[in-house]
Amino acid sequence: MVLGFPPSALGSRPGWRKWSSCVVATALAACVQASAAQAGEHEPGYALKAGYLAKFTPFVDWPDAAFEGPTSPFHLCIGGHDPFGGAIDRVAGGLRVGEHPVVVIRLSPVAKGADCHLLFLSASRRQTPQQMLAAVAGRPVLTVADETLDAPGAVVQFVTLESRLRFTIRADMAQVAGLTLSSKLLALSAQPRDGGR
Amino acid sequence: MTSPAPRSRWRPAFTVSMAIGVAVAIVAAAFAMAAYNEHLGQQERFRQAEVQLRILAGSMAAPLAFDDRSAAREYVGAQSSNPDVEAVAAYDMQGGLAASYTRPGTPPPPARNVLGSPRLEGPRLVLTSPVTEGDTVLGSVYLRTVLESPTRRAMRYAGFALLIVMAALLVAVLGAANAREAEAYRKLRAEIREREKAEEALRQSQKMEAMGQLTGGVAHDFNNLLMVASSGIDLLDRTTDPARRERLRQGVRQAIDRGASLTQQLLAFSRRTPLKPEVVDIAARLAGMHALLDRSLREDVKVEIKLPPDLWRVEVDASQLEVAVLNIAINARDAMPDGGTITIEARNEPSGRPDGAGDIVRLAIRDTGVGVAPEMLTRLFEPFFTTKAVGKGTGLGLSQVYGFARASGGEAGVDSKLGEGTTIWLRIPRSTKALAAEPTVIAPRKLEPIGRHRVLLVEDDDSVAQLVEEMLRELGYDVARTGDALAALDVLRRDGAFDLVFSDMVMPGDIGGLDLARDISRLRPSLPVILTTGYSAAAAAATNEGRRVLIKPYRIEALAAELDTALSGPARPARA
Repeated sequence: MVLGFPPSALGSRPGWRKWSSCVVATALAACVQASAAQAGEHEPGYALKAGYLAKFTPFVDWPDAAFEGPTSPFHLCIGGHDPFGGAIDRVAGGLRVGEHPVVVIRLSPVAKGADCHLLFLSASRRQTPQQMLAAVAGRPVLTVADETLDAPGAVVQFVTLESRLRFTIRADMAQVAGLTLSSKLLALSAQPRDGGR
Repeated sequence: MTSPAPRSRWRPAFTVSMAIGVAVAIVAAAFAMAAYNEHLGQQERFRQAEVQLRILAGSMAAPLAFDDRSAAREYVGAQSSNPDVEAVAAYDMQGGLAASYTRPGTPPPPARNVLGSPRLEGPRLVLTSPVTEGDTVLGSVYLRTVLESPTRRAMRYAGFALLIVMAALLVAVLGAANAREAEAYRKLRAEIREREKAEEALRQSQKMEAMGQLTGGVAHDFNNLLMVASSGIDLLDRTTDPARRERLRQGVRQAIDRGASLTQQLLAFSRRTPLKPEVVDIAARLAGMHALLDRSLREDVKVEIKLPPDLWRVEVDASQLEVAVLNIAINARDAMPDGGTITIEARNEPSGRPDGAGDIVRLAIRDTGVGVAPEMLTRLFEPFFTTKAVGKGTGLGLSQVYGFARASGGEAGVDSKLGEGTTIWLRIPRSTKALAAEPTVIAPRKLEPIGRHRVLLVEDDDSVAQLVEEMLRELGYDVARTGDALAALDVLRRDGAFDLVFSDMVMPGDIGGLDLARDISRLRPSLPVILTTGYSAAAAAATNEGRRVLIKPYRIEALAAELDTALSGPARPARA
């Protein structure tokens, strides 16, 4: 249930065969990692983070060009080590971004030009966050960095303030990525709040 | 149908109940308007609350999504600045209370989310709304707001209601007053009508009483005169003594003259006597009356006439003037049972204007009698008013004086004090015309015919006709007589050799004397016509047309003079 691509994701991709070898390879790699993580369920606090990832989507506008069709899947990618376990799959199950069903993709490493809409940057022994970011640079990808990562190039950075999970948003990065963030989301950014509010 | 009378009679019957009805209608209309306003206002406030809730839901999306309690509290708390908001709450996706605000003293919002359609809880409006971002439901918000506090609403409507109630009260009071006034007016008019009827009845009865008094007096006077005439004629038959016969004839003549003057007074009172105004020198006339006055009054009554030499002339009917003076003098005599002095004075009263208009000659006749009580003064000139016993006076004397003064363009008045005598005065406008020719004294004329003239006499009364025929023959005329106007016209058509027509005015048949005169004027313009009547209205009509009129009763000398004038004068005499 957790591993691999949902049938719908496979069927709806015309350019599937061109990428298949690569994707299968990465999927297999992810499978190995995921199975390890799955055995111990998710790490503490990551259920909340998984929820946050899902909740970011309504506040973000992806350009139409980011999707192949009006109902093509929304790729929620997890770069590096998957700390969520089944929690992310539970959150994504049935979740839609607009008309796009959400598909969780675990990438380790994040290949150059990975087809993601949202990329959660997790710690990885194989790639630095910068490398992961570089892989999706210039594409409309909402990059969310885990709080332990030092990834100044990510659009969203989880932080813990007063023992509560919060996040900072770098609006300039979102602009570079070609994403439109809701001001409501920006208003909750921990960074600007500390700075100017 | 189109007469304006019904329209002018129409007046709205505004009753007290209608006034109250209008007032109630005003209040009802005001309340209906207020209710409608209230309804509109509620809808408006409902919309406002909805907008507020939507803004809140929109702003709550991110805080609820990311469980940012402080932001949620901040947004929720911001709603408290609206004093109408009682409670605000935000619930997360699981329906748990995320943030809330409750105005002190009001119940808190529910602990779990209660999504539902807007509802009214008493004066409070409860609204709920899901919080969504895109298609994602992130939670819900709850808003409870007071539509308007009762005290504020009361304050808002109190002034308005006060005004309306006052207006309604005013309308009711004014309307009721107006209605009552209209009712009173209607009653008053009805009463006035009743009173007018009563007054009319009273006048009628007074008139009847006066008529009784008058006829009593006149009958008494006439009976005396008839007694004199009757006994005189009886005695004439029994005596041959010329001197005695002369005395008897004189007596009968006097009685007849008095009878004539009595009827003249009656006519003067009715103001139908044709006045024959002429320019009169009052001094000369009064001087001529001295003897008459002396005869009419008693020996213990002295008459003094005091006249300035330069007294202005007046234009009046001379004989009426004499009658007026005589009437006043007789009243004065009767007011002095123990004798006294009657002073007749006259003086000029200049108006001061250069053209002399308004100049007046004042003639006053003063006695030293008992005077008149003040309450009687105003009634003195009333016809039939008399203080004398029945048969002693007709109540017409001073009425004639008044009628004469008014008809002459002047006025009459009375000043009196009880016990000190009475002054009755006449003020007559001055005339600047030349004095009329001295009244020709009709001398008993030697009745010599100047040539036989033929006169057509038209008279319906046989006895009168017989005597008039006699008189005319006595005066040397040939007389033919017809009984009515139509016969006279017949005669005139057949026989053109008449020199004059002498016709009564009031006759049986379709045409009267005046019509006859008109026909003759057309038929034979050169034929003179003299009309005669004892009926004053007819005489006035004829005089107005410029016809010659001889008033009955007349003496043979007057008849002779009139015939002479008509025969010698122009065929169509000028207007009198």
